[in-house]
Amino acid sequence: MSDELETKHNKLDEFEREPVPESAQKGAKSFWGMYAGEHTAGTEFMIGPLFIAWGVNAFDILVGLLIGNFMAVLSWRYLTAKVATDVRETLYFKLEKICGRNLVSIYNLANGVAFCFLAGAMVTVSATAVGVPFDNVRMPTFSDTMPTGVAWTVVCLIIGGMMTLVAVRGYGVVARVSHIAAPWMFLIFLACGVVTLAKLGTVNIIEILQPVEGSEKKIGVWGVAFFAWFCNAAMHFGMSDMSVLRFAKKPSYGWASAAGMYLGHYIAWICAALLLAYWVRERGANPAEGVAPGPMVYDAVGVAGLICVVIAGWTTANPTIYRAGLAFQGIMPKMSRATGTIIAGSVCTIAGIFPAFAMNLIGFVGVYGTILAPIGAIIVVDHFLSKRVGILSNPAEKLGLQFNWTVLVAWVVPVGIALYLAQSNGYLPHFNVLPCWIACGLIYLLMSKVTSPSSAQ
Amino acid sequence: MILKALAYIALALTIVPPFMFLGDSIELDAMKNVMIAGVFLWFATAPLGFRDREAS
Repeated sequence: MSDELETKHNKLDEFEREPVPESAQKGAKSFWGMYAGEHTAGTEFMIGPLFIAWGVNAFDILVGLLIGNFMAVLSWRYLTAKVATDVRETLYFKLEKICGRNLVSIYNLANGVAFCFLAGAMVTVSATAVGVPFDNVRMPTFSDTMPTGVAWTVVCLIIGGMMTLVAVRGYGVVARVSHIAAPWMFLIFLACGVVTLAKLGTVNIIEILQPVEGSEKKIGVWGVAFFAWFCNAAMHFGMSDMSVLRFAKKPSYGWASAAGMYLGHYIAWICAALLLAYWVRERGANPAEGVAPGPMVYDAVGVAGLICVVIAGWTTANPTIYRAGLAFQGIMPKMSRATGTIIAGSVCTIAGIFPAFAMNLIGFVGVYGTILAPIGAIIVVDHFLSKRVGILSNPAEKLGLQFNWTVLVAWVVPVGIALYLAQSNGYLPHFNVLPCWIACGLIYLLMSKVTSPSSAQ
Repeated sequence: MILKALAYIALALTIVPPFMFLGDSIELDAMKNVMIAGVFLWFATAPLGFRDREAS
């Protein structure tokens, strides 16, 4: 790895193994900007239309998103930001003190694999835009799980390869592009919504968002609310945003997540949903099959929209590939970060060829949250309850454990049961996140109480 | 200062034409062309115009 890249990485990961000092803490403005940019991403082009495909009505979307996003903001504010500003450490460092280094490696693997599939979905989204000018690229629909042809595969391979190359060599450039593009991308989302209203000849969003006759309703208002609450569960309930919010001067900066939720996960999702609503009403598209984001955005706002889809996908996928590479490198410290990133990029590119991940994004995000978020409950118990109930805080650090079995059992048992139940009963996995999180925290608390009853510190 | 002003104009070129299209004041193709101009102007001016924003 080049010295330049090493320096960049060190800058990104300052204070990885120590609390952030007061001099390095940042003001509220940077958090509002960061959240607004981070949650106006390529995934939003998929999620809005998926709501239409699932037959939700205007009330479900407008009210469900309002409730769910509010709950997500509260989670960021009163859980993540509170813990982050109290301990001022990264999730990984805090976990290492509780779980031991070896168990953190397992968490890293789960995290890295999930990141790869998420980035793969972004490759798929970007390919639907890049493929628009080429007649022989058959666009995937919501029901496609396998590659749609040779041309599609080639487009995904090229995009995934380029994203990987950039992730290996130029994380800083992507971070800059992402930061700069954010306000413009949000306006493109808004433009898509406005143009769709113009084409439909009405501004009555409630009427447009009513499901067309014959659509099968798969989720209602609570399904939408729980999805909005838990689609970023790994970040708030799962505490991965501790890595960011530990730089906040005050826990109240957690309110900044509202910028991401209400611009990205409210306005942008609704605008993206309007795109498919138009295609269903005016072009006769089957809502269950959907239409790929690229052609819909091109039809609405032209080449500017295609550029937005590519940039939105690229700027989301690139840091994700980079983080996945770091996670893999964390498991095998002797491997260079570049090698870890290439492995992550290769998995992501292969995943991107298969539309299954992007087209089932709502389900995938639910599984992702179910697996990763409960680990945050361990941190919450350790931080808020350990002294009160008399269990050891940071047990792995104090007892010199490399692998805390209590944490593994508390994490794996509820997650395993929940994923089995979701699979066998066919309900959406994002309903699992809250019960899993509570169960994980309770099991950890009870087991810790039993195994170390007199060791409270 | 000039770059910042141009960047704001770029954002206006991105969002004003869709509203004009909604108000029947511009054709769809013309709207799309103006929006492309907005893309180029934004990416040409914003990186330098909002350097302070990046630094934060």
